[in-house]
Amino acid sequence: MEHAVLVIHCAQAGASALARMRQLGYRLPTSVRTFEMPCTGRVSEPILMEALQDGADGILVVGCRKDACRYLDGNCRAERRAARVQDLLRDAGIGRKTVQMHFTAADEGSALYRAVHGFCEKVALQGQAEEA
Amino acid sequence: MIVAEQKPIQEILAALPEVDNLLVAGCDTCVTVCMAGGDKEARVLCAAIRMSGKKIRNVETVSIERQCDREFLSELSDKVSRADVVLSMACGAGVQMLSDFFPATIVQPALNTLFMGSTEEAGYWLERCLGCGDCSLELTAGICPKTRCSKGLMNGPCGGSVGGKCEVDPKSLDCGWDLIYKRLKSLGRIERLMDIQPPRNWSRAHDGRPRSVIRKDVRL
Repeated sequence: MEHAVLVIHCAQAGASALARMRQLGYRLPTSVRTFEMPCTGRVSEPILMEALQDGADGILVVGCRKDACRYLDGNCRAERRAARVQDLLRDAGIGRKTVQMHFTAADEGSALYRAVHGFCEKVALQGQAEEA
Repeated sequence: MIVAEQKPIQEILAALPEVDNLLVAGCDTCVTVCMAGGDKEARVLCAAIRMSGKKIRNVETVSIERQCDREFLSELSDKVSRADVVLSMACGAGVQMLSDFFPATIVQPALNTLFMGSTEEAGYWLERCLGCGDCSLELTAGICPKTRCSKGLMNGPCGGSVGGKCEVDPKSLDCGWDLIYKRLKSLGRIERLMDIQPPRNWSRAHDGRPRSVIRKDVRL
């Protein structure tokens, strides 16, 4: 069974790394959708929770490296919010869903591909564990 | 403003009955400022309940300006009429007002209401006022000894005040009377500390019956 993964990325390093990934010939699985935000700092907890509620099994938030956010600390805020949502999912017993933060530089196409691929595997394993 | 925090999600879920229609009602005033029960928090909780596996057929969310005023509660009439249970994310006053306004509806709280306080910085709210009913902030340069002094002393500090910190938590708790002393000194009113204050009139603080304020001049 395919598990739906959403990659929410920023318009800075996130978008550039995604473009680099595609230039290198990597293709994301069909179960992965991407969504661009001006900055991951715009990714709020309601956005994450409602995306999960509406069908995403996992959300990978991809922002700039910690000291390189164009908007200073948007990526750090996103990291904290992703962690808070992950804690809420755990405490509410919603083990089949997961949220994670990933920091990238603009030219890290290969690393981003590995991160997304690894996240998809994690989501699949979690989903299988919950179904069992 | 009133400061509250959300109950643990496990407690909220355990208390929710499995009904057909649940309404999660946020409040846009105090509990929005302390990030406990506003529109965002209501949406997050609504999504969590929907995904939790609780057998509740329909979960809806709404947020109004204040749940402690009837004029705003009336906006909820349609949605509440369709709900079997309302999960209120307001403070205790709001939960009770909502329950009074819709007496035929089960209303449950999602928050624990804590104190009257202020935002010190993002993510940090501090108790400022007990609602003692006998305010004497003019004596202590606007710093309340009943909330800021761990012992509630009116003629402090005590011997446990060391380095400006309170003996209750010497690492992080400021001594209220140290703060008062410094503020009075900066205002040029340090001589006020030489006036011995009598015990406060605690008869006006909460002690048994609910307190009320009645203004005959404005009652209709």
